[in-house]
This record gives sequence, structure tokens and C-alpha cells, in this order.
Amino acid sequence: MITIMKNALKERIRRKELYIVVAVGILLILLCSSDSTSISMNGEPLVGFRNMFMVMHVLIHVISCLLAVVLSLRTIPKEYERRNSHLVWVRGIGQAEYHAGLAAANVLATAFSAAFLYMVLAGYAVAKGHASYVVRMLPAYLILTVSVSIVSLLVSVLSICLPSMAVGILAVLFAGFGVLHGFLEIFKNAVGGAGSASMSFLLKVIPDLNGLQKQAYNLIIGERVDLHLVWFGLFALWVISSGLFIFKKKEA
Amino acid sequence: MITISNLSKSYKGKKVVDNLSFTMKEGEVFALLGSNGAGKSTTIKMILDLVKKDSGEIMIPPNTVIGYSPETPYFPPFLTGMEVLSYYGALQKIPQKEQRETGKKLLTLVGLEDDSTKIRFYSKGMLQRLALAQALLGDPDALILDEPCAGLDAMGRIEMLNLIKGMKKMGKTILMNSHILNDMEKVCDEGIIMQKGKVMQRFKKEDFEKENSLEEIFIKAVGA
Amino acid sequence: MKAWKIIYAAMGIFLAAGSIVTGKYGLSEKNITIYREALALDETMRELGFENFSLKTVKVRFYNGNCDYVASVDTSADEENHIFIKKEKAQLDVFAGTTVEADGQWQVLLPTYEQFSGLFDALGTLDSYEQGMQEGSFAFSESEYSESSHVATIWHEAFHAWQAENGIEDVEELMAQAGVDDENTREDIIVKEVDSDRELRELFTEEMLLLTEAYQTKQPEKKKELVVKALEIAEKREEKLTSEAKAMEYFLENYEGSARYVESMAYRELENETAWKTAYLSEFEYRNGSEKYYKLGMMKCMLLDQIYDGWQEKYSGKTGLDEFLKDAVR
Repeated sequence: MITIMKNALKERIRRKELYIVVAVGILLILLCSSDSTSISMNGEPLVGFRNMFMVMHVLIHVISCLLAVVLSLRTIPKEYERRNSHLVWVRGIGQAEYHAGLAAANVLATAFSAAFLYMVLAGYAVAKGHASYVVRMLPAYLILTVSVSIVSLLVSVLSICLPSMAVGILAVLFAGFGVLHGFLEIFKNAVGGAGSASMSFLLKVIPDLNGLQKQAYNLIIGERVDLHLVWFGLFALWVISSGLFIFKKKEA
Repeated sequence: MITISNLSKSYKGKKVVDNLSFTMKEGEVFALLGSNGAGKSTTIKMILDLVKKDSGEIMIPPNTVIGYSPETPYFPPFLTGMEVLSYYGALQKIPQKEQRETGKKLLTLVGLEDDSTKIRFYSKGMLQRLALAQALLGDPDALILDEPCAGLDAMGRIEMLNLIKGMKKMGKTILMNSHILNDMEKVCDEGIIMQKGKVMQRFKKEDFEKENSLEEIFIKAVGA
Repeated sequence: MKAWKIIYAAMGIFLAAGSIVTGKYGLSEKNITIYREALALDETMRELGFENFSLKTVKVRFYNGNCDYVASVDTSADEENHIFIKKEKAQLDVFAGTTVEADGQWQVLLPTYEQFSGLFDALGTLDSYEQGMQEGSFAFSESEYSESSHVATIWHEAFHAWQAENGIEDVEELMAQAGVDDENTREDIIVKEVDSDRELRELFTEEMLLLTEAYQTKQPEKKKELVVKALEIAEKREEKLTSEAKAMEYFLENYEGSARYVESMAYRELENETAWKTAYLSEFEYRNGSEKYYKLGMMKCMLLDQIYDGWQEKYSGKTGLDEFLKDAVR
């Protein structure tokens, strides 16, 4: 599994996919850190460090979730389209191990992308005279990684047996529900009937990704962290990973 | 060595391999011939367990190591030839220390001495050679080669056939599938001609050495 | 391979156990603390003067989106501050503060603090987003709903429960007579008949500004003068209203406005003067809908505190706040 993962990562790095992340990160920091930004909060221009930091943290999380979908969507299907799988299967490597290696590469690539964006955020904090944030950003990054890893792993698992278009749509819906968890908790009651019941069910099974992002942010600013969300996120990762053993291809 | 008995496979109700039986003897080159859609590749995939058979038996002696060279090999374009062999060597649990040495030997054997060239700069012929090299990792007892000469020029084919002969001399059992009948004549010991999943004709080397060419046997079998 | 399977399964069990152990069940500490804070104001709020008005006699239902956690306090002599929390089926699936009749009494019903502050987040963000989109910028809203706000909301609804228990049906009867007993049409009446009329809007604004000035001025004579002017404006407005609109205004001003007053008094006890003024006495801006009557009614109650001692004892559904003001300036 490690061999497969390392090889997939090596290819990704050499293909310069991750340079796109660099570009996104630079764009983000330019957009948000300019003093002439047209972002406002409560009707006033957002130039205060704390507000800006919070907004950037949310944006980084959302972008990382989207990157998780993009980076993970085609990895496994491409292996089978190119018949790369043949040369792996004939060597007695089980499907679970093979898919797990590729999924792990997806998760690591996503985590690396998130790490880069986080470093940009750390740079911003230092530039604005809040170097103390940087130390806490390391454990906070680990919490954020749980969230984006959930999206990446889900996409990887679903891509084993579903067409890419379906996986993309499901993944975006899943990530959307996860990121808007708090809003949807409130508005599900406004829907009523079967819609409300379905939403309630989905909100129970889809982890609160925005909650995880909030806990990472809380850790940075020194507020209380809700450990339950982190534990549940890790448990969700484990549950999703079981799909690697359950979903199998019939043919290489 | 490898015995196939009453092997069948259908796709969406259509039989692509129909009650196929043959035996490959140790140290021989066995040819699978047939037109497009005859069921050759499906047969190979069933032997390699890349595709599940519907019925029949595939008897392979335990601990038999089989090397496989696909028809259209794909290797990650940003890796070098050596890295590809290291990757597949690692999958086969060849110790890391041996991987480089083994890789170098195999690349030299197949005529790819420059191990630092990236795959994206490989020609079709180079890809085929690399495919054979990775099939030889772990010193397999048997080799399954799917169209090993496909896309090669005349010189490339000659070199490839020489390699195959070399493998045969080393005592490896080889199952080959090819459209180029002239090439098959030069290396195979026996084989079958398939049409619509069925065996139309069995032949041995002697059959085309003395009288008819393999091409004539083929036309007769397929035409019938 | 078997070892990996065992490790993998063990990891799953460990993570599941961790999730269960760290999970929160029942009503959160935060909401219990909020309830306690609300109870701590009971003595102060009784001093406002509304007869038998006490939070200790009202149950408070915290709705978390799935069920109600009913908080009550044991008022017996030796267990005075013991709080009981009981989980019950949700009375209403709404994220709003209101009162419900349950177990033969009127009870306060409101979302948990977490849900309510999240709702304010969402509504504030949507509001800012719309504004921001019009201006061509990105806009966000930070939550302004604090724990003190939630305590104040409890008192607001507790007052409604008190109103329901103490004869506010007179107001309801008035509404029924005017044909506005359907809750769904109430807001529409204000928007269609009041907000769409320019003169009525101007008169309302004038009345509000006069009352605000009256509240702020320290000179008794000037205060009375301004109140009289405001009452004249109110009468002028009333002449232009249909009976439905009149009934609606009366209801909102007297029923909701007084509850807003109680709410603001609770908030004032918890926060400093500046925070209270920011929350309740911000500059008036005319907006469509019923919210402005809450402020109008509250302002009248606060004025009455200045010029009519003991008005709360006489408060009922029959006598409107304008009547009290007229008595005060006579």
C-alpha cells in the first residue's frame, strides 16, 4: 500500500498539479489582505486582523474541500482506464490494498494543499504582528485536515464504483452539506414534512465539516475546542475508509 | 504446465470464450491466434484473474510466478524506466537493495540502457520493451505476452522475437498472442486458432514447418 | 493480514467509543446557565410591578431541533433553587421564541442558545450578503446574539406567558372582532395598510422621534409637552387606519411592546448601560413590518416608568399604553 501511495504522490508532484494550489493560495492572500478590499462585515469594511483571519480561515477550508474533490475524483478511475490496474492485480495485490494506496495518496495530496494554504495564512498572521498564532496553527491544521480528508476519502471510495460525474455531484453535495451544516440545521425545520426528515437524516450522517473548521479556528484564537466534533470526524473517516474493503471492481 | 479446461465467459449474454481447452507445456511457446474479437485477450485476462471466468478450470501449479506484458502498456509518464521497474519490483516485494541492480539488468536485457529517460519520451517500441522488462521482474516461471510486437518496426520486432527466444531458452513457459503470423511462426511451438471464442484449429510447429505456412493454416481455420 | 484487520476493527471501536464519550447529551451547560441567570433576575423583575409576574411559576422549554428540554424550578422552601430538566417531545417545530399551552399552563418555548445564535448568524449573514451584493462587495455578518440576549428573550416570552395567564384574551377578543385572528395575515395587514401609506409612515416616525426625545429629556415640563404631541400624532394616525390595522397596531404595541420592555429591563440588568442603549435605544429607522411597534410600545413603557408610578399594577389587555400616557400628562 505504501508503495502504491508513494508512486501516486510522486506522479502528482511531478505533474505539477499542486502548483495550481500555489496559484490559488497566492490569489487568496492578494484578495483578502489588501487594505482596499471590498469585503465588509456588519456593514463596515473588513480590515481588522481578527475578522480578516476568520474569513480567510473559512475560505481556506471551503477551497480545500473543493480541492479535495478535484484532486481525488479521477485518480482511481484513471488507473483502470489506462489498464495500470492490470500490472498491479497480476502481482497479487488485493483491490483493497490497491485502492487504499491510491486513496491515501489523494488524502495526502489534499492535506498538502491545505497545508500550503495554511502556511499562507500563517504568513499573513506573522505579517500582521500575530506570530503567536503560528504555534497554535500546527495542531489546528491537523483538525482542519480531518475535515478535508473526509471529503477526499469519500470521493476516492465512491470513484471505485460510480462514474466520475455522479461522484463529483455527490461529493459537492456532501461537502456542501458539511460546510453549511449549521445553516441547514436551522433551516431544515422551515422545510417541513419529508424534506425535513430527509435533511435531518443527512445532517446526522454527514459530519459537520464547518464545525471542524470552527474548532481549528477556536484552537488558534485560544478558545475552547469541542473534542466531540474531532472524534466524530475521525470516526467518520474510519467509516468511509471501510468502503475500500466493501466496494470492489469486478474486472481490472 | 498451465492447463485450461472448458473455459467460458459471456458479456451481456454474448459468449466471448466458449468451452476453451488447451495445455501449455513447460518451456514452450504457446500461441493464441485469431481475428479481432476472437476471445484471445479475454482468455489471457481470465488466466491472470483480471477477469472472472463464468465456468471452466484454470490449473496453474502452486507457487508459479507469472509475468505479464500487456498489449498497450501504460506507465506513469513522469517516471523513468528504472523508477517503473523499482515500483513494480516493490509491489512484488523485491528488496530495495536488489531493485536497482535487477532493474539495470533487465533494462540492459531489453535494450533500454539509459535508465534516466522519462517514460513520456519513450517510443512505442521502448514501451513494449519496458513492458517485457517489468514482466521479467521476479524471474517468473511463465510469461504471458499480449501482442508483444504490436506497433514495432521491423528491427524492433526482430529484437523482440530474439528476446522471446532467449526467454524460451531460459526455460520459461510463454503464452503469446499476436496478429503477426510470420513472427509467430518463428517462435511458437504450438498453439490454437480461435474464432468467436471457440477453438477452430490446433497446430504444432511441425504442421507449418514442413508443408503449409502458418498463414495458410490460419486462413483455412478462420475461413472455415 | 489478519493482524491488520484486528487493528483496523479496534481503531473503529476506539473512535466510536471516543465519539460517544465526548458527545453531549441533554441540555447543554450553557443553556442551564442561561436559565439560572434568568432566574437570578426574578426578584428584580418582580419589582417592575406586574402583579404575580415571576419566572419561577413558568416552565421554560428549550427546543434543540429534535425535542424539548423543559426547565423548571422547585419553589418549595427548602429546595428553592433546585432546577429540574426533563426531556419531552417537541411541542412545536419552530426556531422562534414563543409561548405554548402545555400541561394546563402557558410555558415559554425557545430554541437552545446554540440554535438561536446560529439562526441570528444565518439571518444576519443573509441580510449582509444581500446588502453586499447590491454594493458589489463580499459581505459577512458576525453574530451579535449573546447569552444576555437569550436571558432577555426568556423574560420576553415569560411575560407573554404571564399575559396569557392574566387575561390578555381581551386583546385576542379585540383581534377576533376586527377579523385579524389569523396569525398568518397579521404581518400582511401592517405592510399593506400602514407601510404602503407615505403619510402614515411619516406620522409614525414623527411619533417615535417625539417619544424618544421625551424619554431622553430631563425637563418634566418639556417631557409632558412632547408626550402630548406624540399622543396627538397617534390619534391622527388612528383616524387614517382601518379597523383591522387599528386592532393590529394595538395588539403589537401593547402586547409585544410591553414584552419588549420587560426584555430590555432584563438585558439592562445583565449588561452595562452602553450595551443596553446600543441594543434597545439605537437610532430609529423606519422599516416595514411589525418590529417597529415593539420598539414603540417599549418606549411608551419606559416613558411611563418616568411619569406614571405604578402603571404596571394597572396594566391589562383592556387599557392601552396610550391611555396610561394620557392619564400621566393630564
